Amino acid sequence: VDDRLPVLVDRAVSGDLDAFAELVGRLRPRFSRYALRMLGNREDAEEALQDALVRVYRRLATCRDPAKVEAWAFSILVNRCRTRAGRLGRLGAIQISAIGPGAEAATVAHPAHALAWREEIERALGRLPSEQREAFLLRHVEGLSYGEMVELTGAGRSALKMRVLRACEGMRRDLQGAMD
Amino acid sequence: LTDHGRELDPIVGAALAELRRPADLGPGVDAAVLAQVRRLPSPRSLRFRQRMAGAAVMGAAAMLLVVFARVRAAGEAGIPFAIEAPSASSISVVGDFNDWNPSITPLERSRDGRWTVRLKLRPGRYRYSYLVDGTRWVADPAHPAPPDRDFDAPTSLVTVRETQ
Repeated sequence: VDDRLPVLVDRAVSGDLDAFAELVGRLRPRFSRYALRMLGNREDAEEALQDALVRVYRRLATCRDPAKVEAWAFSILVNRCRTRAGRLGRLGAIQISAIGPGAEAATVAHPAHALAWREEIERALGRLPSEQREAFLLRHVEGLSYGEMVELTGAGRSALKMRVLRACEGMRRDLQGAMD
Repeated sequence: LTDHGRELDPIVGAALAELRRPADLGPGVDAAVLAQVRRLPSPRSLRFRQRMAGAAVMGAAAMLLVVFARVRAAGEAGIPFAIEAPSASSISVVGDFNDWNPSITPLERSRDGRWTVRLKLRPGRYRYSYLVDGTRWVADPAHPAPPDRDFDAPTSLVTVRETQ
């Protein structure tokens, strides 16, 4: 928990842009990672993140608990990414822009294939339906509990567990195939 | 790595190790965001405006009710329909009460450019619009109605009550 965030929120609500800039700087690394993983390419991730952060500013005075501003703002980002992913893939697989030749032969162990391995992971992630990808990232990359995911997504606990399971299966199947 | 008691596949675990690595879009995002919010009022001010806008909508709704009440209370002289349009050459009121026929209810122009007509209407709720110069549909400024998808032009609503 970042103790400085509530202070920054209080100042930013009054229009202190330096405070808001610091708030953005503190949120950006985690938020960037989620947007990149969820959307699969830099351009869309940047747009979604910028859009989310502007919305955070507009709604900052409605954040009831400044101590939880990160979770509150993250929910805005998740929604923006969902909207964008839906637009990109109509809730289907997204396009991964950074796939190069040779990715099919990637292995985890060989350092020379590290880039291809990363691309293979991105490709597998991008093949997941966006609802599964979202649940997988929230659970295993962001480390949210299922209770937090229920609150964030509005989906039921059972549905979220199923999505995560199916996402894991899909990732394993795709990555196994790439390593064979 | 486990998920609700079930051990994750090692391949998925290896992928997660990669996915959890930092991936920062960089301070360029901050600059772009700040460039946008710099043009905005403070969040507190935005919140205040939203509340005021909400209050204005409620007020407008209340005013509409008042307008409707006044129309409903109109007596035997009929319901007045009026619009200011000094440059118009013809205006008719067209609506539910005349089967949307533009030729039935023309308005009369006064010297000050105000167009008026009075209609005796049975109790009920009527949607209507003004047709200006035979081509332009205009909602009654005194009785604006919320947009309705069924109508592809601005319209108004008037309610005539039983005691007319």
